[in-house]
Amino acid sequence: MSRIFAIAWKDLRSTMRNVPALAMMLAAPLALSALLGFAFGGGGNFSISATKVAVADLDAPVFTSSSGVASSSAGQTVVGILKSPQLKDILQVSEKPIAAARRSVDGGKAAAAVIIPADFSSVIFSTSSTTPRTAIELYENPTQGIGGSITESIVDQALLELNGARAAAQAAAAVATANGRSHDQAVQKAIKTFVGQGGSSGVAVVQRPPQLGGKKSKDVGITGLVLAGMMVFFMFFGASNVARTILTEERNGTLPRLFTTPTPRRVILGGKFASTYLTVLAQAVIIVVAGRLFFAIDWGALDVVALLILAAAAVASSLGLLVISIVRTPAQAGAIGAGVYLVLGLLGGSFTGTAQSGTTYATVERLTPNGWLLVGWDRALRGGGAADIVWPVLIPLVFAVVFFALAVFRFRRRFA
Amino acid sequence: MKRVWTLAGKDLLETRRDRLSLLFTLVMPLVFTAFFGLLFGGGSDRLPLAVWSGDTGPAATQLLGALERSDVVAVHRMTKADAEKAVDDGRQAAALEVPAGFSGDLAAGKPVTLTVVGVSGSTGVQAVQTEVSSLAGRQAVLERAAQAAAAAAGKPIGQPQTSVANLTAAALAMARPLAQQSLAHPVATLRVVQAGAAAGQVPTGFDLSSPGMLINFIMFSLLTAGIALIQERQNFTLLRLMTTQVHRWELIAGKVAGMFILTFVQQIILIAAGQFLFGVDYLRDPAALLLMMIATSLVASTLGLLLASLLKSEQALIATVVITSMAVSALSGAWFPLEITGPAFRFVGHLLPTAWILDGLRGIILRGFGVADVMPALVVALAWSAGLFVLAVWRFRLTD
Repeated sequence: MSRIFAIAWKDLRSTMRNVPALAMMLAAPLALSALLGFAFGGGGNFSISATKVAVADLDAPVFTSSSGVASSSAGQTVVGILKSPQLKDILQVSEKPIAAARRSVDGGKAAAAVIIPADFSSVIFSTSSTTPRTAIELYENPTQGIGGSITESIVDQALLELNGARAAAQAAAAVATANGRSHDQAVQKAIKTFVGQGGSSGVAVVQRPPQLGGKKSKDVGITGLVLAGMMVFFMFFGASNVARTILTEERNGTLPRLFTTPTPRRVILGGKFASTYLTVLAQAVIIVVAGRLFFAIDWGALDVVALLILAAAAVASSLGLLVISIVRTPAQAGAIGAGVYLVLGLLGGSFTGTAQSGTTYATVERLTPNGWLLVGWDRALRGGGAADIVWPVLIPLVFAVVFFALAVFRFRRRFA
Repeated sequence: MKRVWTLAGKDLLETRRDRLSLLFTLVMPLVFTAFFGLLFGGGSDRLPLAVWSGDTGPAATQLLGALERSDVVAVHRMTKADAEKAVDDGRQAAALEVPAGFSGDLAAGKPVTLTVVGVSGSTGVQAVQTEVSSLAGRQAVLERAAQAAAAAAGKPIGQPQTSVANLTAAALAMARPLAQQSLAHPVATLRVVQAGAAAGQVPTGFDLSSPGMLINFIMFSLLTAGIALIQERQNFTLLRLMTTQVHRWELIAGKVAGMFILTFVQQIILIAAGQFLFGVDYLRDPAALLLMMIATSLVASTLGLLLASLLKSEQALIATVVITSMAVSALSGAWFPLEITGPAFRFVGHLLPTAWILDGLRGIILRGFGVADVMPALVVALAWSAGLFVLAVWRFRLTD
């Protein structure tokens, strides 16, 4: 046993002196997580910056002096909604003439331009059933499609309100006529009542995370999920760096010389596995602690975090050994290993987190060990207990056992 | 000059013989393009939505009916416990809770709350929430319009008038279909015009992912050439070359030319795949596209030469290329559009030539950019390439 640890200790010291390996193991996941946190607002929940929108209001107000109202502008209603204080974090609106509004979009300064036509109010406020139709134009930059979609959704809501007011007016006119009452008064009263009911749809749609075992769960910040994905992904590279010493020593002749000593081969390979496992274990612990210190990530219960780290280290180290058992040279190990880890990272959700939840990709994620580990980390971050991560720990361990058995089989044939 | 081409040809031959390099130069970028294209393009699948309802009233029934007819979600009715578990397991994109009293509160004009259950960061949850908000909002507006109309029209002459809070079923029953008919044929609609889009062009997820992955993986193709340069330095091959008639400048030029041609050929294949496999319209302006391809290969080859000159081991090169390519890709908008990031991130991103090149490529594809439009990207790329080249020549060593 002491010889296993002697070999493991030698490899660990060698890794700790290897600057490129340390960069891949520690700096890369932390730097990329910091970068993505920086991209989406500093590490808390996912947030995006306000969409720049140019508005050109060509609408001519309609005079309704008979009802005592000086004038009404449906266009200004839409502008008011776009500029409302509730939307100031979502939209950054500036009113411009039509040509300037289009130029803002063409020049990439605005994601979209909202162009309200001249006949907008006259069409909206008409109760005639033969009224011509009108349309607000959303002139959007297709390379800024998300901002365009947000603007589209908000303008759609504004139009729904206006069409709703018009529907109220039309229905009131028809019912009033049927009841033998004044048509004009009913229309004005219906619009006033409709608008007075709140000016919003009256339905709020709120979002919350699913409950774990009937308990209320925490909402997960984006940085925790991103760092968990990056940590699992770069643990593969960490394991690969250490396991590659088998190839280096084989190439340099130190491994064959070691085989001539009284140390059994299983002890030598056991030492290599131990060093790989301990290295990625240390890597994961450092990243988790750094995540807590630098990004204030609440990883969840200690036992849950420990189980996930142990399982992840087992998968990463056994896969690292399997890749090394298949290839012949360190260069092959670098290229094939990187390819395998990138595909696993892609399919397992290391780059996309939970973005694919509920789709076909979510099923694909469950075919990979890192996909299951990320499910476990998601539950840990939401405050789940050990009972919530039974499968996310057991299934990666099964992968680890299979990878390890295959690696041992390959090494036995290779060093027979 | 002949010796430059011979040296470049030797490196290209080595790369062609290394089948592993195909993995990074062609296979991986195509796989990632397809994956991210489908992921961000939404696909044609409807999102599975678990629904449980504590209300059996008319408004709840109508809302569930509208959701079942939706092109965005596929409704699966289940119990609350099953729905929570299905979302947690990733089998459902989200779950919707329709609370008890939903129909009554809506009819009474009281505010109502629908709850969408989903895991953090899921794009599916955002799509479900938007769809539920839209359909429920439409229904609420219809109800409000009917109530306002019934209250405003009043009862037949001779009967006492009423308020919104105390409407008769008869008045509402009369107003609701009229309001519904009006809302079904709105006079004011929204017309979306894509600036610079070709006739009939609808942006897809591949328009975003294809140029992004091209930039992401262009640097990976430098691994083989970079490793070869490091090995030649370690094996004293470069030093021995100096005993021949090859000049130092020819050696450097040969290495850069090899990397330039390699990345250029890679771009041709990836762009052809994007155009013909994924329907990305790269060829709207071939001249502008050619300039962007030259810019990309110039930046990549000079960066490759610099990294291979600076780094001493293959392992260091692999680590640096992986980390640099991921960081540069994220900052340049290859993974996600920069429009959703903060102004500081966008500013930092646009200090890199790759962000400008991506803007140029996406502009060509989606907005019909021509040569004049991609000139800023070309100038930035040329300035960066010149800087990288000077640094690489300064740091170029024949031995460690």
